[in-house]
Amino acid sequence: MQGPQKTITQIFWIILVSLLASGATYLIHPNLPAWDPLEIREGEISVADAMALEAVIWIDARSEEEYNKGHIPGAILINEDDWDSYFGNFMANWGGETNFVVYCDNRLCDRSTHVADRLKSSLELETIYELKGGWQVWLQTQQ
Amino acid sequence: MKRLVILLSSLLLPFLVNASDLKETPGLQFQNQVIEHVADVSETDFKGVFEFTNTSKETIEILEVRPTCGCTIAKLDKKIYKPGESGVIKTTFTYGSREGKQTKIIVVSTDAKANNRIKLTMKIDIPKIFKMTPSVLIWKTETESINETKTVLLESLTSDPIIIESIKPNNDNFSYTYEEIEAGKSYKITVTPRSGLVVEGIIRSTFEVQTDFKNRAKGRLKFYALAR
Repeated sequence: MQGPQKTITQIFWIILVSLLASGATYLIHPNLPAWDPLEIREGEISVADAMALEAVIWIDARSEEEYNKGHIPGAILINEDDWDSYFGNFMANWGGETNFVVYCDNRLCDRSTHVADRLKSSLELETIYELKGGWQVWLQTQQ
Repeated sequence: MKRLVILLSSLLLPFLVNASDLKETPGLQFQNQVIEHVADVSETDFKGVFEFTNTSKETIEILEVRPTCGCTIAKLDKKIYKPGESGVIKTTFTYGSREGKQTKIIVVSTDAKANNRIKLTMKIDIPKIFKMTPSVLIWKTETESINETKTVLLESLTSDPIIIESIKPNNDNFSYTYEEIEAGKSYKITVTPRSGLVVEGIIRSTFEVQTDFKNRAKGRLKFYALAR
């Protein structure tokens, strides 16, 4: 085998073996991040898609203190610190809208998941989404 | 031979790089980063203790202990820990109206050179005491009759029998009756819009059901009726 051709063959093998090893590592690595910033999981919605929804009701699932510091314009506070009180106030004013987007602080909080599940179960609606990345991602989109 | 060395090196390199991630890195080492607990029906909060030791050769300062939920408080006795020194982070998770499996995370940030962002987790399973299906009754007058009756099924999920003490609507837009389906276990509440009710816009009522459950607040439930 001549010089340049031999070099190309070696490079090919190095790349192939590296890819195989990297792929295997990706599959078995125990510390692989579970959260993909681009992946929209079932029940989630991106800020852009949420903004495009018609007559959407924003639900803030954080604490009252966090809500008072800042929230998405028009968002309604409903959290599980006192579900009956917050949900009761909402029911006293709900106009029958069907698109809901629930958010909490960031990807680590599970409050929006619980509130979205309770709203789905109570209102028997499927168009209740969780905002991907929550309030922190919303803030980034506003900069 | 040369080709074989190159091949083996390429194969092993990614594993060697990642193996460094798997070693125990110096810094704050926690005895347990995950606490699991199954709550009792009478509990209103859970107090967790996360013990740690500075296993590095340098003094470490804890810069921030941040719970990801307003329902969780994390307390630290002091911020600076010398090599070999131990400490605790005490947490309190207040249940509020929460039910089911809850995962509450506390993020600990330090000035250590490695392992300087640590995630502590509390996995708490809060028992559900009642199941009310559905908790919102809706009459869509464009597609259904306003005279139709709808039902709410109230079930006790605990072993203790429960009795409905009272049902109080906040107005007379809807009438109701209830009957026991299974003694102490389940009730059917039937709701009907008041005779002659004229629906202009939205008509609504809130019903408060008081049971004899030992915790009076937890034994008080609500459901809603709405016609539009």
